[in-house]
Amino acid sequence: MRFLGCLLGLFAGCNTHPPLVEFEASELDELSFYRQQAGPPADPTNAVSEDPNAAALGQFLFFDPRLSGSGEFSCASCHDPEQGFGDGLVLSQTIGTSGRHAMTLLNSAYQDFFYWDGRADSLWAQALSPIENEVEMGGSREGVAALILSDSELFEAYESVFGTLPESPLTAQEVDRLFANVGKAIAAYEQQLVRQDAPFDRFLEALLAGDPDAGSWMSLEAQRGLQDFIGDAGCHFCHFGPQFSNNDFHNIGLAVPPWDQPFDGGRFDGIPKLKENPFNGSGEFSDDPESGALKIDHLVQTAEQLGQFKTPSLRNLLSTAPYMHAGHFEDLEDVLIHYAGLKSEVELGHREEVLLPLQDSTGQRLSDLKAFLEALEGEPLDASLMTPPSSPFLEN
Amino acid sequence: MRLTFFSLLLCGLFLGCQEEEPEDPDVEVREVLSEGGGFLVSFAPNPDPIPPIEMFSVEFLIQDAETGESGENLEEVTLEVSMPEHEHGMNVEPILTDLGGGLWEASPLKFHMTGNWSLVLGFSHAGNGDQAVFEVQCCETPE
Repeated sequence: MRFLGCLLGLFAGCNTHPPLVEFEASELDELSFYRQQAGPPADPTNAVSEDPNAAALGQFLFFDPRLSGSGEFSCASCHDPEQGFGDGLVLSQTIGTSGRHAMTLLNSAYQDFFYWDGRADSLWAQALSPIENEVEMGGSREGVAALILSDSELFEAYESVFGTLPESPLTAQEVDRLFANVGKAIAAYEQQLVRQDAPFDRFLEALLAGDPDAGSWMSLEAQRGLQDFIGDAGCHFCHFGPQFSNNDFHNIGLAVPPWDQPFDGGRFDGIPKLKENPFNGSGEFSDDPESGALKIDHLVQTAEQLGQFKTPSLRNLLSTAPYMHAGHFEDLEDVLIHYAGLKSEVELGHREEVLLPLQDSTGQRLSDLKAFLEALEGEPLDASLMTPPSSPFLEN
Repeated sequence: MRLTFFSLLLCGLFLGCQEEEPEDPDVEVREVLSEGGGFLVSFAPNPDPIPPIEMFSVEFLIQDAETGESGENLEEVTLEVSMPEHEHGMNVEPILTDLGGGLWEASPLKFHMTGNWSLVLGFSHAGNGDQAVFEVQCCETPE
């Protein structure tokens, strides 16, 4: 009878569950920190960060090349929806060539600091500087104010979100306020650019619920990669939490490629720029200077920060190549090869001590880690967020 | 033989009960004797458990190790926070505030990486320098 049962089992599938790596209790504890978040938190320094009317205005402005000096470039020139809200280039190119690779805007609303050196502390402050940067959009806050004042639709949409504008001509401070509000509207749009529900998220929920079919969401290879990621590979030290980033800055011993700036100080230079930025969260244009100050005032600049760059999120990597602050690596394989060949001596600053070269004699380990990273690709965004809207008003 | 057994039993009863239980390495030590031996220092984070990658504060209670009285007239109170294995500290600089009664608050702190952190509370009393060292694992899963 038992023999018959086994035979039936073999043919009918006694164990029909997909293969599942065995995770220890301590690993499950660690993984519970990676459960995806419901939605990005509101930005207290931006009172309209969750206002749909502001987001509609912001989306219109995001795609509007009139914000640039020449009328040729918009935010979308370097943050192209079809390129994962990056540009797919090693270094961004508009009026000139920028010094760094464009970061994706996907899931950026979960971050604390923006740019590779963290020189902005909010999405709205980040959105403003490319507009006036001479090699990016080459525009001006006065030009942006003139556009809002002269375009009747924009004027109406702006006033419906931010209230009545003062009588023209605007003072310099009023222009600054309008400019800050333009940034806040764009940030409200960017707040919606969230791609989650990746195979990893579904796998994790099933795994933590004890579902024996959890393995159906992620290949065995990717599961092994995950186990290594939170274990010996040490990726989790920096790529921690639901967005796979500790929102901080590290020196990972990157070489300086010929196209990169030779002495890019990274975070070391970013901190004073952040503190001096009139549009930072503790400044007069912030809607909550107190909470903004909490984020900035206690930051310290130390020599350790030389050559440190932001820990990027690892979500949605497939659409955001190349990788690193100067677009060092064309694909994920090259990124992993970098971690396998880490050197102690670095060209600038001091490499993160805890990083050890990934030992991989067979290639299996890097392949597993790559499979895991590929499982972090979220569901596509709603199509309405991917194109320029026809008007700056919220459509019903 | 019977006497020996009885003696052993008695020894066991009186001595065995006093044996300290072995320390569980997973249980964080939140009260330590200062390295100079003069003070008991306890550590209470807020929120507790400490959330990773978020700001938190810590209260340190400093008491005389013999009398249990609160450690008053402390000078040069400092806090150094580091990850010894990583050879770096935090990226924020906390402010220490004397709350009175031997209670000191440090805020804000932020553990931006998981792993072992070391908190060294330094102080001097009557001209003698001393310090209390806490080893903290970042981070426990919230209940």
